[in-house]
Amino acid sequence: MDTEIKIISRRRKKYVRSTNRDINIVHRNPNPESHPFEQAREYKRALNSVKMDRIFAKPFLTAMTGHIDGIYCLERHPKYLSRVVSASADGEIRVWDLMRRKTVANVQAHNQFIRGITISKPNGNFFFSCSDDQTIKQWRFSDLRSNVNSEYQKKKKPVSTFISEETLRGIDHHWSRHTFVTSGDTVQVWDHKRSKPFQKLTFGTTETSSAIKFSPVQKNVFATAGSDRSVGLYDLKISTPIRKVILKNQTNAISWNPMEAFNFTVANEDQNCYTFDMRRLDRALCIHNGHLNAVMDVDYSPTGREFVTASYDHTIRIFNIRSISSRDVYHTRRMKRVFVAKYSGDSKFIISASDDMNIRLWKSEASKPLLPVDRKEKNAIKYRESLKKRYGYLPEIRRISKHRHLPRVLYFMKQQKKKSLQARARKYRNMKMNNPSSVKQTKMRKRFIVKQLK
Amino acid sequence: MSKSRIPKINLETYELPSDFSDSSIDESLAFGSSEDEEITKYKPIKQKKTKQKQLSNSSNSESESESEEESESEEEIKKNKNKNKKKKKVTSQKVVGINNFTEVSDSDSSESEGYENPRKQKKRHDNLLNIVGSVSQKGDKFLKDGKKKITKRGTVKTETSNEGEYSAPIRSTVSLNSLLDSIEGEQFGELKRNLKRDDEKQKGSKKKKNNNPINVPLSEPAQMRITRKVGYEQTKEAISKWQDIVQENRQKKTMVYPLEKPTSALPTTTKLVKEFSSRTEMEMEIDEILKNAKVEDEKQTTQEENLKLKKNKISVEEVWERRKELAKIRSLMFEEEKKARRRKRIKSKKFRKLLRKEKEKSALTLDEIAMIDPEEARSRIELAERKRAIERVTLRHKNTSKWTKRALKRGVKDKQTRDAILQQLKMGEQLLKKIKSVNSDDESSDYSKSDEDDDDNEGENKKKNGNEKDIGLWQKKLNSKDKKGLFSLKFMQNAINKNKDKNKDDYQEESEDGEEDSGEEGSKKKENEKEEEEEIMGRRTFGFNKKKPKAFQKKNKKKKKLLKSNLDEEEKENKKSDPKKKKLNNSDQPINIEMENSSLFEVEPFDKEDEQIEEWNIKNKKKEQNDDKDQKYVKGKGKGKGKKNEQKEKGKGKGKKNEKEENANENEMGKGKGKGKKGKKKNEKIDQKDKKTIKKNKTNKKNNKPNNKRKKRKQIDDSKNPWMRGSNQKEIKQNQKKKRRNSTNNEIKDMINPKQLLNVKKADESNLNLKNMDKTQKKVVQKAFPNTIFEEEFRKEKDEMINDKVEKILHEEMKGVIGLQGWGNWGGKGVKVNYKKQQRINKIKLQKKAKIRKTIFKNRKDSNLKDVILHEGRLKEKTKYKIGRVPHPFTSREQYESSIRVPLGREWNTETQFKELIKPEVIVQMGSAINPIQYALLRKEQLIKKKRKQQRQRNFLGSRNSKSKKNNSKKEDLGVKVD
Repeated sequence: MDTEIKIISRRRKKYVRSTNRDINIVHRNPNPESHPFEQAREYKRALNSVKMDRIFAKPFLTAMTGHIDGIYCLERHPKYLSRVVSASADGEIRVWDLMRRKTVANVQAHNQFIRGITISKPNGNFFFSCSDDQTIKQWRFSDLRSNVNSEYQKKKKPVSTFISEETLRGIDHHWSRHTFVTSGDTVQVWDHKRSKPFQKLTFGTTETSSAIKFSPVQKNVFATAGSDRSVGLYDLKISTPIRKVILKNQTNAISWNPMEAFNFTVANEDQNCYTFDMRRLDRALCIHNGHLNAVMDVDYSPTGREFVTASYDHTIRIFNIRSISSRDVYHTRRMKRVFVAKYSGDSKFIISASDDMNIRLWKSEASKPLLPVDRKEKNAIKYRESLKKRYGYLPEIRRISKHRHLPRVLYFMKQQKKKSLQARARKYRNMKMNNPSSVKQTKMRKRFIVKQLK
Repeated sequence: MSKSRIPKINLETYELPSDFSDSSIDESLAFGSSEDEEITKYKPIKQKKTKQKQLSNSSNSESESESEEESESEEEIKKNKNKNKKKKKVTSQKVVGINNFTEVSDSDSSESEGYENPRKQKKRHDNLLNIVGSVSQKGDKFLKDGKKKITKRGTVKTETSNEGEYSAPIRSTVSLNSLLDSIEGEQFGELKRNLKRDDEKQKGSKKKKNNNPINVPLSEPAQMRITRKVGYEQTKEAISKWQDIVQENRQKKTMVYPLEKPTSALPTTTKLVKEFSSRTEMEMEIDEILKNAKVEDEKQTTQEENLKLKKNKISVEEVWERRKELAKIRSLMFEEEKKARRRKRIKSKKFRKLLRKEKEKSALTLDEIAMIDPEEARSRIELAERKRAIERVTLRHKNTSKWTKRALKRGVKDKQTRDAILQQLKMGEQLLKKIKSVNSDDESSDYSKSDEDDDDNEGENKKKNGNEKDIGLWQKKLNSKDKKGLFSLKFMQNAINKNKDKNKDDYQEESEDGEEDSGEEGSKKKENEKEEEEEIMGRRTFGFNKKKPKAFQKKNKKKKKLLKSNLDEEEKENKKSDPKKKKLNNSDQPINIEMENSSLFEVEPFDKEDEQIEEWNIKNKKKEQNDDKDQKYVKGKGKGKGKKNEQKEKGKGKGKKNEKEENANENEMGKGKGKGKKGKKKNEKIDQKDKKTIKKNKTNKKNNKPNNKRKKRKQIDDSKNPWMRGSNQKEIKQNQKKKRRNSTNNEIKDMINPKQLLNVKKADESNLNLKNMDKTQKKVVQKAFPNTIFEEEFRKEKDEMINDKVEKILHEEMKGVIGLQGWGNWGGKGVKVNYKKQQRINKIKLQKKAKIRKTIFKNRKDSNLKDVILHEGRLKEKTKYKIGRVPHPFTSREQYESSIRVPLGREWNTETQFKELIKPEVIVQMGSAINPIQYALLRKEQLIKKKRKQQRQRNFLGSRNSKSKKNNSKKEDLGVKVD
């Protein structure tokens, strides 16, 4: 009897390229019949990748301790990715190295609450701090060193001190000039070399403004958040305030989109963020909701595609600039009220500072690997990413990708909020039904705006 | 009146910043900037910040001048006005424009006035006028119609010439009216008109009061509002230049950040030095040190160094001495090197050996090392241990290497190779045997003695053995204290523990045997035991098998007791069971047990099929042969259980309960020990297992002689056989009952093992195969008679679907006919049923049913399609793959679906396509800070692109032209005419 023996054989020549420069031999059967059910298979892959994302989502990197009071200010260096300056309520300023995750330098800068910190912009050699003691101090980075030497301890003095006649609530530096602005009773414009503000700008009303932010793109424009629930816009080129919008609740922070000159986002006390187009202030471009308490800070990613918000509800959220709900929410058990959240210069990390005296470092994308990955893996990740995008609308995938665990308290708060919003909507509907004249029909995007002052 | 009004106007129109106070602005500036004023005032937005400042300054200064004018006497103003009136309009309009020049002329003329005679004066004056005329012509650039003004200017000059340096104040020449006249602009028309009206009024009727006041100027906030509004519009416009860029970037498929490309040009050293600032800690420290040392300049340092060098003067003698010294050292070194080289070249083995020995002698022992450095000692031990492990795994020194194989193949002829092979083997043995050296020092010493004849290795061996001893000792020490390194690994510890246990067991065995057995028997038994032990040892000890042999050995007293108690329990339980059981036990015992087992995993029983059973019986026999190997080996442990004894037992066992027999067996084991000789004999026959076991098996079957071990084995094996189950139905049932009772039995629990489970699965599979067979049969039937069974089924299904719907609707509709249940009828016992009513209702029901059916048929889309069922409702399984509405960026369903249609994966695309398809939206280069977008940068890029494009076009055109030229020339050559 003849017996046929089948052997699995592989020829090296067939799968190994002869030289390094040779093209990679891809073993692919192009016959479509051998790859049936492409949609079903890719759907399954998308589903798996979404699940994997959830499995590998470990955004928290480290918590850096050092401050002995709540941290209210944080600023990243414009040039060096790993440098961050923070200031706490007790008047201490610390310079951090994110790579080594420790303090590089620290100073007891003020005796009172530090309200704002800003780094001089084109080169970032200095930083300015303003405090409740009505002084602004200019510091040079190289003057502050952590290796404690008596001489250098003595040297830890500001380069210059500016004394303000008014209260100071915020400070921001111009993106290219040697000027900076402070907010308070009036908006004061300062120069590095002048001891007194060379300009004072007001709307003529008696509000104090807190947050203040220069636009990084249209550099002469800046915005403030006033105590009269307003958001004010100023132009330094013509040295006048230009417009003011009054919202229903107070604004806590402002951030300009670094890639889209006219857009800025506002962190509001009413748990929402609003993105505005500077040219049309009668309505918001987008309302971002999700926080369960006042939003304390907002900061754009340097790519201008996303922004991060810090909230009083102990969480950080990351939003896409055009989406209503957040992409991700970060929280840890020990993190308390978060006052500041900032993107790192390369958009890969998020730095948050909170009431619990810690600075925390997070990955901006929770499941992305930090270390450099192999080419193959990179491609696999990209493939998964694009699959997720493609099938992201399907219910199962959407559900999994959106699913986030919240702390118990927040979870219930969320349910409650949902209920109350539903009730409000129902009431509105009923009113509309029964007495249409009593209901003013306004769009959601306009509802939170009280008026625009021209 | 006018006087008081004029300044007011000025003050209000030119608002003065509250915080501004600048006094150092000269008049000329204020006046000269009249043109600027116009622009700034009416189009303040277009001015830059600096100009704005200027504006405020100028306005300020003007207002000042105005106020000064106010303080001027009333008369003077009147005079001026009158004068102006007399003059022609043209002149009065342009007075301001040439005002500066008149001033100059004034001063010039006044200088000469007091000292020279009038004739000369006049002459000079004429000259001057000429000069002034020429100058004013130049100055006409400010004015639009120059020539006329020059002629008229003469008159102006004559007027002013009379005035001296001190007599004529400059301001007198500048009147408000003239100032205003000079201003051209529609906005000021009203103001001018008002002024004129005032003048007329003053001239004509002074008594009349002014009824038309100038408009009240805007309040400050209102003005601010205007500026804000205008400012906002302007910034809006300015910022809108980004619109296109933003739009473009949004639509880009991928964005690469940072936007600016890295500059290819390297920074110059000077630039680097200039920009350098110490950032890292080390840099800072160095900086600090340098600062502390006050060394900042490179020049300075070099100078200092030079100075120092100069100070260090050395005498010639000293230099000589030093030289000598160096030469000596060099020569010594050379010698040494030479020696070393020579030694290196020596090939003598003896020499090498001596050298090695010397080295070893001088080397420290492990103890010494441990004294000095325990860490080092530990690491050495570990190393040795590792070597051993490697040897055990690889068996490198057995005749497995290529070289030895080849050598052996060829036949070892020369002594050298033979020696080498032998040595290698020896090495292997040594390495393998070293394990024993850990536990028993004697053996290793024996080994060394045997090795003494070998000269070459003697020293080494000694040393090694010494080391081994040391290792053993040290191991103990280390074990007792802290376990580190290789010993800390779990498997190593396990192995050590196992060794310990084994030793203990051995010891116990020996002691027990020593009591029970005597003389030769005992010693031989020992050997057997060792054999068995070796069998047990090794891989089989892992997992569930590990404890079994021990359990069956029953040498550990505790275990014995435990087992006994277990068995007792079983017995009791079995005693409670039916008397039927006795009968049961007469039948095939192995099958019985097997059934027990099968019922445990609840596999469906099959019908009895005699043939199959027979087949199985044959198979089983074969299997049992294998089983009996184990059996024997168990018996071997049962020590001295003789053949005769066994047979006796078998005889007794007839008609008795299994368990009892078991018990008896156990009891007999003790007895068996006494009859060691026979047992020994049996053990000797282990090699000839097979033949005997077959026989035994037969007897076993008949005599129903179960054994603990055997039982288990069989259960395992039999469970493999699916046919087994069908062998005895009655037994199955009974055994199931039995099983229920025994479910808590420890023994059964013990029996569960992964192998069994696997086997059961196999049985399942075979089970399925049978079913599949049926299916295939079905298929055959299908093929033979199509459209019979399945069509019917299909019809039924469709019918059912429709009927369900009909029933539902009917139920709803009948509610209206019958009304609420329990209403309209009498209830309770003995109530007559109203059949008429019932009938009526039934009738209605039928009618309605038919109607509904009709309508449903009408409405259903598949009513006309015979072979189709169309689900019109929502299918729950498919909701997973359905989206409620078209997702955001897409406008229609088709669009969305088309976006999904082409798959992304590698299987369906080429590599390049794949790469293109999976490109992410945002790419961020690693470790680079992303700066905000910059307009200048973008413009630059755009320009570069444009240039490139142009150049490309040019090149293209150029090449084309040249080509066409060439072609032409060619054609001409060929003699073809080209138009």
